[in-house]
Amino acid sequence: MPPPSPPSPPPRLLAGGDHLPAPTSATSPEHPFLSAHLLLPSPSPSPADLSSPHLPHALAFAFLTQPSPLPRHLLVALHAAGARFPAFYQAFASALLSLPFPLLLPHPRARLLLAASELARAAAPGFGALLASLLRRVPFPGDARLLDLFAEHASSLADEEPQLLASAVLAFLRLLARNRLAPAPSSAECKGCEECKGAKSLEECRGKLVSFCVAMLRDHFQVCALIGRDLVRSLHELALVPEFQPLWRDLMPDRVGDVCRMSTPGWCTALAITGEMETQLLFMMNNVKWGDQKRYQLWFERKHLMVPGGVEMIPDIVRFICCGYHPTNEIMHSGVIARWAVIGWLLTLCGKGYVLANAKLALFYDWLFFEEGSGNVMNIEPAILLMLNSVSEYTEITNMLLEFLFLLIDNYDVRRKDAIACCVRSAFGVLVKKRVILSLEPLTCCEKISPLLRQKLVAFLSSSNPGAAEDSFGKPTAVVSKETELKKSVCSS
Amino acid sequence: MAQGEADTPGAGTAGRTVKLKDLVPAATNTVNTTFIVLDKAAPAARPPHPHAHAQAQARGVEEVTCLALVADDTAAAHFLLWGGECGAFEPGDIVRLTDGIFSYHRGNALVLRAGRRGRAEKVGEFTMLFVETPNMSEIQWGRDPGDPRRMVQEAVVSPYSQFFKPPPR
Repeated sequence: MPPPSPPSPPPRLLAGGDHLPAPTSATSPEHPFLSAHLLLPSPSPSPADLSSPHLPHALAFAFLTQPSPLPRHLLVALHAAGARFPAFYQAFASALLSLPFPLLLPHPRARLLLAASELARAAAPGFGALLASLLRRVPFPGDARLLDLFAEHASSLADEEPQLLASAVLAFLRLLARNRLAPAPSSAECKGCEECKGAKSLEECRGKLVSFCVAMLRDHFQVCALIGRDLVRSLHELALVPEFQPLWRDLMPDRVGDVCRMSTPGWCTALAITGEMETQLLFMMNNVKWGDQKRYQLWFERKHLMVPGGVEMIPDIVRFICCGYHPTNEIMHSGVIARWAVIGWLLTLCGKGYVLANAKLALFYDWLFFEEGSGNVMNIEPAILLMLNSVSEYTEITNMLLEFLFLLIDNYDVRRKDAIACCVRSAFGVLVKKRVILSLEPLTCCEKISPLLRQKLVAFLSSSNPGAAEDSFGKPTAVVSKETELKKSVCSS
Repeated sequence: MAQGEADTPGAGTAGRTVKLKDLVPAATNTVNTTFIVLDKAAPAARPPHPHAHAQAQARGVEEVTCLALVADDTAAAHFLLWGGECGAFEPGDIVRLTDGIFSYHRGNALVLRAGRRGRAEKVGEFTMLFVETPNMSEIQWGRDPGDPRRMVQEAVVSPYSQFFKPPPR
């Protein structure tokens, strides 16, 4: 008689390897799932299983790993537990959120989407956070299900979760604007599984994606407008896409002004970048001291920018830095690398002309609609500091940015040219008034800067509102800081 | 059992975690530490060393190794990646080493490595601060006159790695 074959090891959730912690190790993100699975291998809707503290992780493990088709008892158990214990859905969703998405194997990834749509169908607590986190991951294999899900529940989401629906619109518009719908090729595939084989990617349904965005803008414009001015920025990038042109003809013209007046709300500043990018950028800007940043920059470039579609992310990264992260004074004076320096580095990596133009637009976007009183000075701070701090050593950056700013004032929205000029003037004024910079002299007087641009700036600042312009110059009186002295000596050298 | 490496059985059970600045060359597999990989050289294939893994020697295959610069917030060191480790770790990876060894490899290069009993695992990425000096592999060590079993620092050969160039500024 042949010896009994050893029991097969439990299935994996994450891509493994000899040099990653094994699922049995307490440091593995899989560990809580595996331990729960060993205690509760096949959760059923029995009262004993439903009241088990291991149910959220055990059920998540079974849901994500059971071969196709998904056993019905798992769905029954999910909703039975959700109906019986108010906190269950939330615990289940949190368990799913704790898994590092980039490491998920194809089958568990497809099932994660299925779980998300089950939770959305039941409008279960916790589904919003799960869907928002998935939106940050597009494009990924099988992501068309995410579109289906939002399309299916659009009307109810518009009423009950408008922010979530607006997030989906923004995530999809950014994806279309970056024009790279193909997911990164993955080495692993789920062999012989019909469920995974049938999973479509957004790349295959571009038309459906465009239709969804257009329909949301037409049917739920008030919801989409929650995004604020980044909605207009995204639609501008798509203005040449035929399906969006009718919107620009009949829907947008009357609404652009109002939407642009709304600055980007906090909940969508990080939506267009992945969680890893956010973590790493924040680490750089909170912990890495000046002079030590080079290796971190190289790693960030290699991991996020030197990949297909990587540089196209730069405008969204710039938006995140300007609007999504406002350091405290304590951090700003702790010697860590400043936001403007991170942006300056990113601008050097854009490569393609249109990416650089979009990145500069992202940097100045809040200038174009800046209103004293309601505008946040921290959104416009990186651009001025980048211009000022580049004067002595990287004058070409100052020149490039100033030139671009004037281009924007004249051309970004010709019909609102005067309003935009007024906002930019007010931005300069507030930066001096709030003492973000001591004066604009380094820009108006430094001979290293192109004379044409300097003249243009002086004329611009003094036109129409001479009083404000004088303020903006911040004529140094008795108190002249050392910094200004230094700038002068740099400029006159 | 292969000769030459004084892998003391059971020596790795101490479980104490050290910082790189506290590394002292010793022929024991007792180093538990966490570091970030700063740089990695091209892999080098060499014919099996007389003291190489017994299996590799038996198969007559070349052993692939790869030198890496690693660091934590106290010091840097050279880490010798071995076989599959060469492809498993990239600059920016945070690695936990358990039961590793810090000793002279092939007689002269002072390197940290997992050795046959140790294990290196990727536990994260990017979010770790580090210093590049002192480099513990660029220190000349000698026997402690008071206790010949111990090694003490005699001189700094180079404050920074001589093998890996600093990143361009």
